[in-house]
Amino acid sequence: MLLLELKLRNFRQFYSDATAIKFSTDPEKNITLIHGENGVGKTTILNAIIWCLYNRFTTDFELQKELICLQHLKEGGKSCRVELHFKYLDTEYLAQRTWTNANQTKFKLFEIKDSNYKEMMNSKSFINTVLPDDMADYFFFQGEGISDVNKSKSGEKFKIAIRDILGFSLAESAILDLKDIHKRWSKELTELTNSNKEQQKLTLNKKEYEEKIDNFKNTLKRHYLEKESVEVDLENILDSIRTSSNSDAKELQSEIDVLEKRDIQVSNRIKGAQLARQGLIRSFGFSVFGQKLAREGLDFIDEKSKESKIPAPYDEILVQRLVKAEECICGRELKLGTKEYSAIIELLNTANNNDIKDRVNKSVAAANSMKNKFPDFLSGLEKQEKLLLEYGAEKREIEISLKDKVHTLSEIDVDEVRKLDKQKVNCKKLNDNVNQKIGQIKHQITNLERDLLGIKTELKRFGTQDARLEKLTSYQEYTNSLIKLCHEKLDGYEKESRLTIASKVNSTVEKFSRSEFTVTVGEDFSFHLVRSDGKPSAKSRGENLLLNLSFISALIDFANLRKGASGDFLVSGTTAPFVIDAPFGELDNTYKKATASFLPERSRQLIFLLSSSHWMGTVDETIQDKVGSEYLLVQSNTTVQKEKPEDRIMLDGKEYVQSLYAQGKDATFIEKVH
Amino acid sequence: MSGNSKLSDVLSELSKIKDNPSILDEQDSEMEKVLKEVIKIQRRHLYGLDKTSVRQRKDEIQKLLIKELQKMEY
Repeated sequence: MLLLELKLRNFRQFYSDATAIKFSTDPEKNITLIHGENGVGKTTILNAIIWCLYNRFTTDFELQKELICLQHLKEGGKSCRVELHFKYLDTEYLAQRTWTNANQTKFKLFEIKDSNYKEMMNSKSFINTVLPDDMADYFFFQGEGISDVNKSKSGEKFKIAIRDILGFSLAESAILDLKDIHKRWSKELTELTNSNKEQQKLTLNKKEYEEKIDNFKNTLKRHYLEKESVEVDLENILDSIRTSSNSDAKELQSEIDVLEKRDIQVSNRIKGAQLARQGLIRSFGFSVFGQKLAREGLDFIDEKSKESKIPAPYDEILVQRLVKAEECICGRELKLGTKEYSAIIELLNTANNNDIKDRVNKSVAAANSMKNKFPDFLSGLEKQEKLLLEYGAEKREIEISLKDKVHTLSEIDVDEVRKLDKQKVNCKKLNDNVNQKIGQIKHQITNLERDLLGIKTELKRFGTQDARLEKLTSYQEYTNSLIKLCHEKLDGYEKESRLTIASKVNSTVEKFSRSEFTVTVGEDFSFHLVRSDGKPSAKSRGENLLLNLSFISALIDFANLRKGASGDFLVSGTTAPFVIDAPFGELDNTYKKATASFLPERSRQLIFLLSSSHWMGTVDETIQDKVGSEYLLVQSNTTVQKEKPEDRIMLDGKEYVQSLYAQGKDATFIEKVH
Repeated sequence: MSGNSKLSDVLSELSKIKDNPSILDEQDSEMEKVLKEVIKIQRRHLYGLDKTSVRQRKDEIQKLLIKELQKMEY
């Protein structure tokens, strides 16, 4: 950042719309000097810059709500403004802050390209990148009020601000974003893991169901074997009756066999008729409901066909040809925009085409099919119903006969027959019992298999979730690696920067300090004086100021050094200005000379706000060759002079009066010296 | 090593950087390349002239990471 120009428009004691300071940007003559005696406006200039960029002031700046020039207020003025024109990474910007007497402030930041001013949206964050607010007090430095940079901010804040100056801001923001993205994935992963628990539960259920089904199937097998054995026993008993020496029993069993055979046949016929009836309903039942619809639909199509409305009496191709030929059949011209043209185009909405013809044909075919099928369905259904009644009656007759024959057989009073009949009854009971068990187990298996199918369908859904789970885990690992890499790189840069800054401060201290000590820079960038025996050394106020100025100038120098770096990880280094209000206040002549000597070397742009007591003598001699721009703050008073001083000063071989009396206005004016 | 020789080493390194600042740029691994892309997105959203939001910035980074991971899968 290089400051180019500061415009104060009726800000505090600075009157008028055209009070401007152009700062020196010459690297050889990098100092801008602003002279002013106490109370004339030096600290106001420092505060104007801080306010314009950060909307705040130094703590000792009084009456912070009274910003409008009193002279301007007297003349009816209602606002004031500070404009700071600066350059950052080869682009120029204009920061503009306005204050109204309604205590309102408005900030605008413009990027200037080819004399065009484009307002920036992220103005605050951008300014914080150029020079972070937390570091502003060190770059816009109040010499008189400061004795220890370290103590003025808490350690962590100070460290963060320095990291911003060192260009860490984008990488640190990237770390925060990556952590947030990691959190997003974690959230999804947690949800999936929860549903994974559901998956585990379902898998367990599936296993349980499969085991149950297997068990039932095994039991079923056993029952079938049992059934087979019972059936063999029964058949043997029946055979014994069939071959019995008792002719009545023999005959009766033969009749029972015939009846049972017939019973099976009739039962099969009943089943067949039932199936046929179901088939008819399934295939043609809809015609019962579609009968009315089909009749009405066909009547409608028939009626419209007679009126030549369905399909339409004109064809799409014909209409398109007429439009293309621009002439109607009647000979009228069809030009775009005419009533005739619109009427013909309108026909396209209803014109007949292949699609419409096809749809009409299909509708007629469907309606006809429905209409024809209804009588077939009715007669088919009646036939099956009749058969079912007939078979039902036959079955009942057989059952009565069977019952009668079985009873007669059981009444034969012959030991052998009675014994065989008893065995037969028991066997049949056993068979019925086994059949009942088989039926129950089959029913249970059907239910279990239905539930198992549901579980399997649910589990299929988790198949895709498994893949997502795996992906999310790899995303997280990757993001963690990126965060780790980013931290490692930043830590490396920070360590390197600390070492560099410490060496720079030490080179200044070694050269100019009277005492033998070195400076150490801690992890939080706090710096301490250490004696040769390694013990901490107490600092005088002058040494403190020297050390602070040395530290900030080392930081500025380092940031300037890095400005050629690519900036694809760290924000490129930047040239930072160093604006110092009363820099030499607490320094003796030796330290003044030392400071005046190393500051211009370390800073790309140096702005001194000086009173004559700071300026004359040592400082003037040391820096005069480096001054690129020089201004004088002149106080204009409406009061008469009486005993008050004129505050004369010699600048550039010319004598200036800094306090004027009996003037038209009470204000401060900025006069350019050179 | 004495404090002074350490200091002169550092100053000599600094002077090398001053003459050729690009030596601060290192050869990048695949992951470093991705990191730089993330920084690019940060720069565009934080310092660009277009109106944007934190959510849009994070979404764009997330998309980039997924894209890079997909590349690795193939």
